[in-house]
Amino acid sequence: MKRILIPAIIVAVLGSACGAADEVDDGRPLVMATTTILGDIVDKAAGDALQVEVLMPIGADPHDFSPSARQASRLREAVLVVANGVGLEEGLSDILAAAEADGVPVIRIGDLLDPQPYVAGSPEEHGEDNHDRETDSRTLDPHVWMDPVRMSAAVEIIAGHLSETAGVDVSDSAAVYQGEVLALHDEITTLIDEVPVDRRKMVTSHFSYGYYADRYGLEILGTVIPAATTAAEASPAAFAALVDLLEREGVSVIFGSTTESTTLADALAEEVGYQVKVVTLPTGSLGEGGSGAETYLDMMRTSTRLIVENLK
Amino acid sequence: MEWLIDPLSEPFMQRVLLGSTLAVMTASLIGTWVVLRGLSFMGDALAHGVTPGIALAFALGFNLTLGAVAAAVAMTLGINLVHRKARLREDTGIGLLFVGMLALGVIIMSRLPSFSSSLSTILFGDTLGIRQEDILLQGLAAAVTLTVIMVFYRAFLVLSFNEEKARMLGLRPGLAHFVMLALLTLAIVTSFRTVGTLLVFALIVAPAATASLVVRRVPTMMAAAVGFGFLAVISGLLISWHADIAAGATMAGMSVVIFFLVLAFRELSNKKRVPRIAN
Repeated sequence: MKRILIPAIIVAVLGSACGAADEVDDGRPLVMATTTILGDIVDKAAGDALQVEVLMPIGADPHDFSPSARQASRLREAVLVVANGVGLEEGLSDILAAAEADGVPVIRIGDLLDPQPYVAGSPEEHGEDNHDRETDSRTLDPHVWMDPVRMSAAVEIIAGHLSETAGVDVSDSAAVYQGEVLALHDEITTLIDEVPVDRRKMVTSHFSYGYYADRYGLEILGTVIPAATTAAEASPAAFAALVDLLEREGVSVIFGSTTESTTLADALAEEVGYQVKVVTLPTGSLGEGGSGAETYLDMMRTSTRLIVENLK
Repeated sequence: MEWLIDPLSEPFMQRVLLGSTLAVMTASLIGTWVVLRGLSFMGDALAHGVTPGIALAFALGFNLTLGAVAAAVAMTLGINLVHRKARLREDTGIGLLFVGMLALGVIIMSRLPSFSSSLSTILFGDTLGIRQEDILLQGLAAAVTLTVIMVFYRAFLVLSFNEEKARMLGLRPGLAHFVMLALLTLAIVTSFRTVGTLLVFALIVAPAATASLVVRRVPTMMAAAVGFGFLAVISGLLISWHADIAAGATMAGMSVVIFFLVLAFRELSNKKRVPRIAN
């Protein structure tokens, strides 16, 4: 029996797995990006000179994505891997480090863009924990792409690395795209100006709007999950403090994200004594066609439009 | 055969296969004894119960593996305490410590300002991040496990079938039990890198359980368990490759799927044989 058993299992197990399509190599050098947002940025910056592939699928939460064996192997064919870094890709860090040890150039773009510590939770919490947080590199906020000014610098850095490691000169297309990113910055500045100064305050589900808020003069009053990652949990005291804060400040909208569940934000909205809306913004990933977040520029525009509409 | 050769022709994939095979070897060898002695609940509890040790070691900047070992020791002592002092059955003590440790782990993590990458690697581990030095460690663990099992083979065997007899024969069942738990802890802490503490128990129990379906003698059972474990690793890796899904979870899942396939196959072939005997 044993003689036929093992082949039978192998056939049964593998039968269904065959026939998945191979990536098409078109001869252009391959650049891999971890997030859909970085993928779009690299793609636009590189013009037609490179083949760009993205590890994470659309809508994936970048904090806890794990790749397949083929994707991890594909990393090793890339002339450059562009990662966000600053601890964003929690499920990928080992795989990126192993690829790097195998000699694949990996840039963690966030680390090069002056990452800032995050300041989250209710204001009461700030005083006691803040000073030791700031010296701790583990508590830097990874959401650097929320600042278009930082991303325009990222375009330049990526273009520089591409000409160095891949020997591909993308300076023309990168310069054009950099202009578009800076135009986005002006556009957002103008849009945010429509919001009265005393209403430029946000409550978000996890701490993902820090750079955005800094750049455009908004204040993050609090976050539902008291961390810069979606994987942490809220404590009842922090939750209660947040309910008080919302009522005191008269906050009528909580901003969630399309890559995470809004259960906690919904619960918070219900606890408050008046009508509170939960609005989901595209932040952690680009969206499907028709979502208004198909590209980085559109994602930022859509987010800003929703923020302005709901804060005005 | 392209579906088999293509993925495995990459040096990177060969390394992942080697590392995962060593991990599943360690796990299946001790897993056989876990299945024989009915220690599954204990093993599962230990695999999850190391979480607070890892979280605390991370928060305080200690070595994560040492944290895991400390948590496993604390847990074993706690289970013993409940068993002896409260005069409750052992599974009650295991259950209490299991949920207690897991809760403690989540509490410690909720107080960490940021849930950082190295920590989630431990919980959800990834076989695709295996490096050369990890392979060395896993090979060492596999060698130690094999050697210790060979040395303690008689003690383990008698302990598994008759604890009283072990005592009479002077085989020190207490020591044998302790060594067994130590090997179990070793398997957990060296292979959580492959699939993470959340799924590592699949690699310990499933290949051994599958082996127990087809063979009887303990040495053949261990060999078959390693074989089924290898099958789970290679099929999981290939499916992950072709279907573009997470590798560690696919391996753990395949070890369980293989158990049910073998069970179904055995039942079918038994049914076919019965009428012939009746004739």
